[in-house]
Amino acid sequence: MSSNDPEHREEEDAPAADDEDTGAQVAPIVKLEEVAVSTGEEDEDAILDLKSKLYRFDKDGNQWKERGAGTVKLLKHKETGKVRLVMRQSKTLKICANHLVLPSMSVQEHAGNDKSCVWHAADFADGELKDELFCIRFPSVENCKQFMEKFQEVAESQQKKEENKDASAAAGLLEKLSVEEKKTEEKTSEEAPAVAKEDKDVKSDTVKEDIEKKDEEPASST
Amino acid sequence: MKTRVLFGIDGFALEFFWRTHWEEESDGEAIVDFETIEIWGQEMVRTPMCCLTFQGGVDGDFSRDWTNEWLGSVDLRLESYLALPNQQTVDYPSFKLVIVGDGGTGKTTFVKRHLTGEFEKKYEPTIGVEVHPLDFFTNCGKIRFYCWDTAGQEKFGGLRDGYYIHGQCAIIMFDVTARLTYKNVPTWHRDLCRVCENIPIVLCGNKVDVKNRQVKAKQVTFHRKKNLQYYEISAKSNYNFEKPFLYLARKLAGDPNLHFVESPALAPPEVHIDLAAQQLHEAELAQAAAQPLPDDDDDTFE
Repeated sequence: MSSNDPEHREEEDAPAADDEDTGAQVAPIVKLEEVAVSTGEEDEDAILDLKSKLYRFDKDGNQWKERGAGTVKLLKHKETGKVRLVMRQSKTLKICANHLVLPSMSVQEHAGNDKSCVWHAADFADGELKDELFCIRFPSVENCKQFMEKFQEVAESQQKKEENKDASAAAGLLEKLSVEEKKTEEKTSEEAPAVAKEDKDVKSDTVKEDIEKKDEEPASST
Repeated sequence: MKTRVLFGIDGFALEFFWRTHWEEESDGEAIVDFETIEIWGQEMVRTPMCCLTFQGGVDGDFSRDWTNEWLGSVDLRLESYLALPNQQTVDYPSFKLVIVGDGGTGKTTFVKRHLTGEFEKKYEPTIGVEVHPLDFFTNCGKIRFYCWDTAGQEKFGGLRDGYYIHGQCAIIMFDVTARLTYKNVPTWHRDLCRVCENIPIVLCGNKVDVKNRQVKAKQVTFHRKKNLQYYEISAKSNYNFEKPFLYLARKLAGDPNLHFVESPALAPPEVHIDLAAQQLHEAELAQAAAQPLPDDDDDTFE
């Protein structure tokens, strides 16, 4: 993409035909068939899409290191509503960041640079979770602001979702616990006389397990 | 290939030292199995077998325990060390790519740029060779280049053209801001072609982001004489940085329409961050936020 690269556009001695093939004819050594290509983003909508440069913090060297330059996206899943940040290197289209935007995350200003901001994430770009500190830099202050606002908005909305989820989960749990207690009381009072002293603990454990098993069905239906 | 080896340490780790002269002494041959080969602590290649032909004053007893034992001055000739053909380590096509060129032209920086995204300004000469797997996603599936990033500086040259054995494609790099590095291209090309016949080769003029070039694009003519592909690149600005790999992939597959595609962005697993960890991250983040970026002034976002 040399044509839209300001640094090289005016280069008077740039080669006329960039992709002119002057190479020798060589016999191919593999036969490759076209394959179905998947971006992995098919079920998501981009709610943000900006040119940027990403950096990761090298703790050992106490410095920021470039991770890639290209397009950063916030992708919202069409069904779950979960939002993740995905960034790809331009031209090679490789992934340089891939992580969920979670309520525990907050994006912060980068000291002395109003075109960049920082955050922490457990990143999955390489197919394994890695704790990373990221810094992202945009061509303009406006883009950076836009990114920060969107990021924060998403994190907070996920918070609400999580709270709702937590609340209903907690309610379910409470219900279950109260049922459990009640049943345990009943059972212990029923069985207590029959249980010999030395294996009382073992027995009561088994009883509890029984109760939990019994409870699974009604609990899941709530 | 004449090589001297200081040899020992549990039969798995080898330390290599090279010398330029070779005395034909007595002979003796042995085939040794290695699971792992290490050079200066860096694991290079996992290979089930490595054929080493020893020449020199070694009695042929290789069944003994070499643990913590140093044999000085064991001379050996490497037949196929680190250069096994058809060594398939992944279930998708892989190619051995040899990268050569004068010291300081940016071979290691170029490879590192592709591996991690970082741009290393500090110059540390490569000693011998460093092998890095580099994957690309194409419309014809995933492919891998094993990048053999070789030493440019003569004094650290190691096995030199010994690294070229079974090379399937190559990049010759020079620095457009240092004329001598272009003058030396024919030598690199000649040495490469002696070992690797008829492989696709890309000539790369690196550092084109620098204003004061010593080698202008028009002055680069060697590729026309020798039928190489030429790209002006910049590892710093990423200008054309994908082109050498794309060209080589197309040639190796015989498919001029092959192109890079978006690699699948897998769904990241759910993570739960506890409060303590979160506080730690916040403290680290505050510290990191105080550090400047390495290239604040740069305006390219490619």
